[in-house]
Formats: sequence, C-alpha cells, structure tokens
Amino acid sequence: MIGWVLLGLFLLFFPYLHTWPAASSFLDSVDNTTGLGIGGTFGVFQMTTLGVWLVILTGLNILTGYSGQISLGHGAFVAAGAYITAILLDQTATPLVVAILAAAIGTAAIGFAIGIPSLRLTGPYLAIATLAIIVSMPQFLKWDKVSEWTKGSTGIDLPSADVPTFLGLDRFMDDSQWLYYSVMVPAVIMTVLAWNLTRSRIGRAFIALRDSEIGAQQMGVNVSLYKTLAFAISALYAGVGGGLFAYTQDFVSPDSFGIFQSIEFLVVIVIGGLASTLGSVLAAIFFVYQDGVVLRLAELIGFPERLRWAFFGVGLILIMIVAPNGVAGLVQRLKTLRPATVLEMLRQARPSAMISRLRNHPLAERLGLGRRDEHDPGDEES
Amino acid sequence: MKLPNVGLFRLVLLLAAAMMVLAIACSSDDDDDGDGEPTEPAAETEAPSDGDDLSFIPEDTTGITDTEILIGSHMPLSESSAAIFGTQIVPGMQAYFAYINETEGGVNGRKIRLLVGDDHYLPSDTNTVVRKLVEQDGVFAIVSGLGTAQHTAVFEYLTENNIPDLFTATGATLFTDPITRTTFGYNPNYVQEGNAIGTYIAENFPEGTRVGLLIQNDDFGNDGKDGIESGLEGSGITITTTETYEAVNSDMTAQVQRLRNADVDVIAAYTLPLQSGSLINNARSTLDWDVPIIISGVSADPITILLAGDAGQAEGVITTAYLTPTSQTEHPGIQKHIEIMAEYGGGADATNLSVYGQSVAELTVKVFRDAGQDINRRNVIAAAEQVRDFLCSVCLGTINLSPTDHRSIETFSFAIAEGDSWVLFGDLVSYESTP
Amino acid sequence: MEEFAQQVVTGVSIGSIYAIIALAIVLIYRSTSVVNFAQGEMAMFTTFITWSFLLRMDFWPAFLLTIVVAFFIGAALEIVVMRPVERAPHLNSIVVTLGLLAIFNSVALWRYGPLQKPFPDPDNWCIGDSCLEIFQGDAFTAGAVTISRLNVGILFVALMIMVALFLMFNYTKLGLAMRATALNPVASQLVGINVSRMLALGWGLAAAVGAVAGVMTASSLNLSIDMMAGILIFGFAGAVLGGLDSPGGAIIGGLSVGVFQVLAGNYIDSQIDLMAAFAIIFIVLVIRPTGLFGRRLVRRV
Repeated sequence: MIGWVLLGLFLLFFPYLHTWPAASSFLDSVDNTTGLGIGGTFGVFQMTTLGVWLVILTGLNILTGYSGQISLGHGAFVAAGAYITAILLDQTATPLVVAILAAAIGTAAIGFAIGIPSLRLTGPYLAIATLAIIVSMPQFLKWDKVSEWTKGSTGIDLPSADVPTFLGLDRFMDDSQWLYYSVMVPAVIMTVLAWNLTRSRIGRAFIALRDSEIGAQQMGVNVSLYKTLAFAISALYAGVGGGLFAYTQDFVSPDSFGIFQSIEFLVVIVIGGLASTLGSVLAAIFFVYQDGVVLRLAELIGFPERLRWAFFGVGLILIMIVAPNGVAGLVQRLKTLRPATVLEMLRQARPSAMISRLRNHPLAERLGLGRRDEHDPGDEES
Repeated sequence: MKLPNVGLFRLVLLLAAAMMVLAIACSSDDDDDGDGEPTEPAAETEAPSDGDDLSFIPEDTTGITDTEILIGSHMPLSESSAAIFGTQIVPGMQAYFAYINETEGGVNGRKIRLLVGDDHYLPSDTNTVVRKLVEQDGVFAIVSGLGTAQHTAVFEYLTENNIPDLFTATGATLFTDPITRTTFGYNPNYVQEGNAIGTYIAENFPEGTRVGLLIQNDDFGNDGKDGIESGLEGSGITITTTETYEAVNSDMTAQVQRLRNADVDVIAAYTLPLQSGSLINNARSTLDWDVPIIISGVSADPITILLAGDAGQAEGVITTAYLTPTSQTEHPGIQKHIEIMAEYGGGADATNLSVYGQSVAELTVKVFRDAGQDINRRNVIAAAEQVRDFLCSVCLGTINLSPTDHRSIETFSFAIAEGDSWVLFGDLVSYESTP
Repeated sequence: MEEFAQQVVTGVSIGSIYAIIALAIVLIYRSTSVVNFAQGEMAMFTTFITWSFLLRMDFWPAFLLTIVVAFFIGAALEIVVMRPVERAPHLNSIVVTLGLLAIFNSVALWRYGPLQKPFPDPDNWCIGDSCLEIFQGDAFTAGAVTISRLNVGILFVALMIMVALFLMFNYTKLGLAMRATALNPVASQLVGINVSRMLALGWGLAAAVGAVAGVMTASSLNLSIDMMAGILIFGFAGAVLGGLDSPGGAIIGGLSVGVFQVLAGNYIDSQIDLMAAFAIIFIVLVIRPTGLFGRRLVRRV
C-alpha cells in the first residue's frame, strides 16, 4: 500500500522535481552516469512519451500476452488513432478529449473489423497478415483519394501544445509540465483499467484461449467473440495512445510509424514480460530509455560506433536467455526469495560452481568440454 | 493476489472528472491561440520589411564556453536503410571539424564539438534526440538535420525556442518558404532543380515530346514533379505519364515497362541511386530501349552508373550536380578532402556524401567565424544572413544568404554519364535570389 | 491480352527474388518451426562474404564456397544462440532472431561500410563450348513480352533448390528425420532421432539457401547492407501465401506476390500497388488460413 502511495506521489510531483535544486542535481548526476535521461525538462518530456508508449504497449500486451495473438502491425492501429486525432484537431475545432475519444472508438472499430477475418489465422500467418497492414499503411495515407485529409506525404503539423490559461494553470506549470499531466492522467487510468480487466472474467477467458483454444471452448468461452474482443480492446488502447502521440509530437506523417517500430513493440513486451501489467510498464520503460543507456554502455566499453546496434542485439539475446519470462518474470522470481535461497544462490554463484554449470551447457558438451564426473564440486560443500 | 484498491465506479468518476477538466481546458485553448497569434506571425511579417531586426532572438550563449562550441545534429545511423546517408555524412562533418580544431585551434579559439543523435529516420525519435541535444546536452545550434518528415517533427520546437537550425539536409521547400529567421536550408530545393530539368527538356526536345515521369511517392518526388511541370510550361511539351514507387521497392522493372507501354520520348526521374540504377538497367538491357533519361541530382553518384550495369549502359544519362564529385581526383578540393578523411575520418572512406558533410561543415565554420568572438544565437543568425559569395572548397557555385533568402545552394550544373563518372557540362544554372 | 501476358511476366521476374527468399524462410520453418527474422540479414552478410571471395576467384567457385560457409554459420547460430531459448515460449525465439538481425546488420556496416557495391551477374553454365545461357546475354523477347535472362536464371535456380529439397524431405532418411523433428521433437527423440543435430542441420540448410537468395538478389539489384530490408517483407508474404511448410508453395507464393504487385500497379493505380497486393494476400489468407499449399495442423487439447 505504501508503495502505491509513493509511486503516486512520485508521478504527481515528477515534473517539478527538476525545479528543486537538490533533486535536480541528483537526477542530472544519474543521467550523466547512466545515460537514462530523467533530469531537466528533457526528463519530463521523456516521461511524457513513456506515458504514450505505456498505453500502446499495454494494449498490445492484452492482444499478444493475454489472448496469444501475435500482431506485427500494431503501429497501424497507433497510426489510425494518431491520424483521426490529428485530422480532427487540424480541420475542425474539436476539443482534444473529444478527438482522442473519437480516435479510441474509431480505432477500436477498425480493430474489430480486422479482428473478424483474422479469427481464422494463427501464429506466423496472423503475424505476417498484420505485417502486411503496416507495410501498406503509408501508401494508403499518401493516396490521392485521401490526401485531402491526411495531407499526403507531408503529414499533419499541429500547433505545439501550450498550457491553457484556464484557472490560471499557466502560473503553476509550463508547457512541458502541462503535456506531462495531460498524458500521464489518461495513461495511469488506462493502465489501472487494464489491470482490472485482466483480472476479470474477460482476462481469464483470454488466458484460457491462449493456452488452449479447444479447452477454452469446452469451458464455455465464446472463442470468436473473445478473440475479436481482444483485437478491439488492444486497438482501442492503440487509438488512445495514437491520439496522445499526435498531441505530444504535434506532428504525424506516413513516416512516423515504421515497420521496424512495430516489430520493436513486440520485442519490448517480450522483454518486459508477456501477460503482466508490470511487464507492460517495464516494456515502456525499456522502449523509452533503452537508447540512451545502450549508448552510454557502448561508450563506456569503447564499442565502435558502427557496432552499436550489434551491442543492442547481443543484449536482446542475453535477456532472452537469462530471463525467458521477461524482466517481469525475473522480478516475480526475486519476490519469492527467502534469505536461505539467497544464500544458496550466492553459494552457487561461486566460480567453481559457475564453471560446472557452464560445463552443462549444450555447447560445452558438443565441444567435448562437458563434465566427466558426476560430482558437482558445489554440491560437496553444501 | 489482491485487487488494487480502486473500484471501477470510482475509476469512472475519476475519468469523467479528468475529461471535464481537459475539455474545459482545451476549449479555452482556442482563446489562448487567439491571444498568441499576433506575436508569432508578427515576427514573420516583420522579417521581410525590416530585415535586420533579429531582436526577438535572445543573445543566448548556451553551448558556448571559452574553449568550445557545442553543436548537435540528427541523422539516421542505424535501424533504417537511410542509415546509409548518416554513416557517410557524419564522418565527413566530424573529420572537417577535427581538422579545423587541430590545425587552426578551432574557430576564434573555440573548438567545435558535434554531437549526433541517431533518430533511426523516425520523426518521433528525431523529436526525442533533438530535445535531448537542446535540453540536456545544451547544444548551441542544430546543424544539418537530415530528412523532411524527420526535421518537420522538430521544426516548430526549434523555431519557438529560437535555436539556430542551420543548413538542414533536405531539399524540401517548407523550411525555407516562407522564411523562418532561425532556419536555413542547404540542398538546392527539388522544385528549383525540377524547374531546371523541365527547362532543359523544353530547350532540347521538339514540341509535342511526350515526357514520362518516374517519381518516389513522397515529397521528394512530388516537389520534383511540380518543378518539372513549371519548367515545361508554355513549351508545348507535356508530361503524359507519371509512375510512382515506394522507397522499399528497388526493382523498377514494372514501372519501366509501363513507361515503355505509354510510349514516352524522354524519362525524367526523381529517384534514389538504387532505383535510378534499376531504371537505366531495365530500359537499356531488358527492354533494349534507348530513351533519353534525366535523373535528379540525388542520384549523381558513381554508384548509380555502377548499378546501371556494365557495358556503359548509363552512358549519356543526364543529371544535376552542385558539389564536385569524388571521381575528380585532380580537383584540389577533392584532394584535400581525401587527405582530411584519411587523417581525421576515423577509418571512413571519402565518398560523395562525406564531401557533402565537409561542405556543410565548411559553411558552418564560416558562419561561426563571422559571428565573432562574442558568438551568440542572435549574431550567428545575423552572420548566416550576411554570407555572400562564399565558395566552399568542393562547391560548384557560390552560396549567398540574406534575410529574405535562406536557401544555401541555388546554383548547380548539369552532368552527363561518361564512362564510370559524371562529367559536368554547360553553364552553371543559377536560381540565386540574393541580389 | 498481350499486355496482360507482359504484365504477368514482369511480375514473375520481380517475384523470382521473392520466391527464393521465401524458400529459405519456409525451409527454416519446416525444419525448426521458427520464423527467422534474421534470414534477410544473414543472406546479406553471406553475400558480402561471396563478394570478398570474388576478389580472388571466379563466380561459381566463390558461390559454392559461400554456401558451405553459410551452412556452418547457420548451424553454429542454432547451437550457440537458439538452443538456450529452445524450451522458452515461442515469441522468445522470434526476439532472438531479431537480435541476430541487429547484430548481422551492424557487423556488416562495421566491416563492409555503408556503400552499395556492384555485384556481377552469375557466369553462364558451360561444359566445354556449349553453354546454358540463362544468366548473361540479351533478354528473352516474344512480341511485347520481355524477361531478362538473369531473372530466368534466378527462377531456374529456385526451381532446382525446390526439387532438391523435395527429394531430400520426402525420399531420404535425413529429410524425414528433419520433418519429424519440426513436427514433434519429443516423439522424434523417442524414436531415436538426434533432435539437436536435426535442428542445427535445419538452420545450416536454411542459411545455405539464404546465401543463394542473397547472391541472386545482389546480382539482380545490388549489394548493400540494406538490400534485404524491403525484400524480406515480400519474401515473408510469399512464404505465408504459399504455405509456410511447402517449398513449392513458397515459389508459387513469391511469384504471386510479384504478379499481384505488378497487376495492381498496372490495372488499379501505381500509387497503391503495395496496398492492393497486400489486400489480395490478406483475402487469400482469410480464405485459406494456412496458405495456398500449407497443411492445416490439427491440434489436440
């Protein structure tokens, strides 16, 4: 309970943290050593984008993590939400909240429409079919027939978000702080809603579906309904996220949503942890802060600049080997630690034990380095 | 596992309350815009009438110390096929700055340090890296930001914060027309270039010639098309067919086939080197078609000729150029560039794009030097607007800038493929608008 | 009618590249049930190896040598990188292949630089003086229908690989063992198949076929670190359209993607050729959820 209060207070006061000298210098020193990017106005902006990606990734986790449907084209839903919002803000005098709600409903409808035919597709077939959607999306946005609204390849440039003068708000906060709250409030609400959803009947139905479609059917789950529902809910999140994206970036264009970005969405939720709200949060943190940290690490080790991406790739593979259930899974495991188990782990971490474990690795066996004796030196001492 | 202590009902209430606040806030946003309006366009409309008034830019010295000028740029360096651009331009810029720092002790005693943010060619990442450069690293200016959509994402931010946005690496017109006092373009813009190509066709082909276009389906292609149309105006020559392609496609077989079916007499192309190579190869080799081909200067790279296939298939293809190609190894500027790259390039090769990087760096150094010992954001803009007849070591024409002209390179030459290189021919074509 | 034939042939010539990369994707899926996102970058990397061999020897020796090298790279990757995640959820192996994609791309950039490199067309096959002229020479022409010789050669190579794979998978013990491993590793182990060796072999073979695809792509377009970025997506589309476990389907699927794209560009609007082509693929998939030639897996509870 106290943890939640602290987290709430942190999120509430974060945008003002950097205005307080002591905290500010602390944040800056964290940035200087880790490359995170949490200090200053930039830190506030990063945290704002974190809110945007959190909504989007939470939605994808509902689709992929809970209901087990792999989508490689999630960026297309985000784009739909962003464009609906941007077009409404650009061409009409729609208030922001209404525009984002419209984006949510519109995108959910698109998700529903795509979800129905996708019912028949599973695994890699579904993945590639959704990839097809994100690949053809830029061409659609640039098409002569719709460019009147989408502004073709130029994209829609919105005025940047200013803090409203209403209630004298502008005396308490600057633009970046205003942007932070207008993203973080919906982001937190949507995350808590997702948490509740996944613990409800619907969430359990999703999980049953993922684990065994036929089993779920026999337990009385309407498979078609829930699979389509997962698509629609995840698209709704993408729609809200896309709307917030358009508002914070104040610019959308067909280039804004790359194919690789959509694939990266999937990568980060696997790394964060599938079927876990904590996993979505970690995924968003990873998505936003990974670039800076990887850069700093590579700098420290003196990695050649052109090999930076390889460094990231190695990191991905290592995480998958060390934490197959994502970082959230790792955290879950750490939670169950008792002092005795910690001692046991420390004992096992000793060099002799490490070597014996390495010897058990398939590669070692293959190379003829596998252990020959049955005795594990670590065992004898315990 | 316990459910979080937030009932659904309370959540709905919260949501409703939050929405109301936002709704009211946003409706008042409109009034706010109304209040805000006079100030911003005022600065813009003021500019042409009273060219010297830069007082709205603070005399900010962020990024300037006694020993250093810190600048930033955004370029794609990984996770995108556009990384090909960044990974060549950046070494060219870095090498030249290192050379100036080493041999001349920098500019007015200050060494130039360039930080490059890798934006993966994604506009939202551009936004992040540029804000980091400005707010966290505290750069003095952004130099040579690459990509139209990418730079659009930060254009407004840089303008509002009066951060010098020097020599953007794109030929898009929207950054220099209308003039924004803090932003300067670099590449010749595609409309001017297209106009020159259109004019060339009008002058060299008989009335009634059928022109076929092959353009990339984006601003680059569309600007080029507009330019060519304007150049052809009144000549009795018209564009009869336009074929487009997406940048993910590098095989132009189908497009060339359709141009052939449309029976065009000349092809004008706004294509990147890959697609230009495929265009030429397919026309000459597969279809055995000797149609005259004119391509945008973006493809004026020896690689285009190589990609067009052996047996001199590119022979006679025409393009435009504004920098000396690296193939002219006897040119003193190119010789010097190769030397600089060998010594300061960190292992990167001298290529046409590293030449580009150096040419931008030379102009940057010139402007910083002119801004003087007390360099700040206001006088650096003033210095940039006073650049006259500046000829960089690898440029073909001079660069002129003024309060009413923020387009750097407006002079270029036509070039024709001969053997394995592009050979310049004819007079320089100039669209210089600074008197 | 002639125009239609011409458009179809153009589509086939574009699709020949998609077909061959689709074949490599199918091969790895069929022998390991992993969709390998690094396939394109691995092919690009091995093509750079070919390129460095070409500085020292003729085309075909360099080509064969590359295939051998690629086979060992593929098998080594399976043992070192894929094996530790073998038992983890399926998505984990996808993430690992994405990690490999990053590594291959980055190492190629570091080692070979960002510049595009021209790549020669394969030499014609000659025995003595009689040559099979399917790689170099003038295009084949019949009326308005034209196809370049190289594209014919690429198609020919793809068909040869397909036949070889068909024979191997259906008529050799090794091929049957590989199929069994992919379908049901546990049962295969029980009947005495060395599952780990089969998986490594599967990756090795796929990398080898990928190397062929890379060399053919480089001949037809160019050699650069990003040459596979666009093509891989079309290769995926082709593989899925044909059915992920059918080599013949991969070729038909790859060619169809090319043909759809060209026909859509010609008869609908060249501005939306990709969109139209992918819409067709989506519809075909909805009608036949495991592709045109894929077999439907029956799963029990």
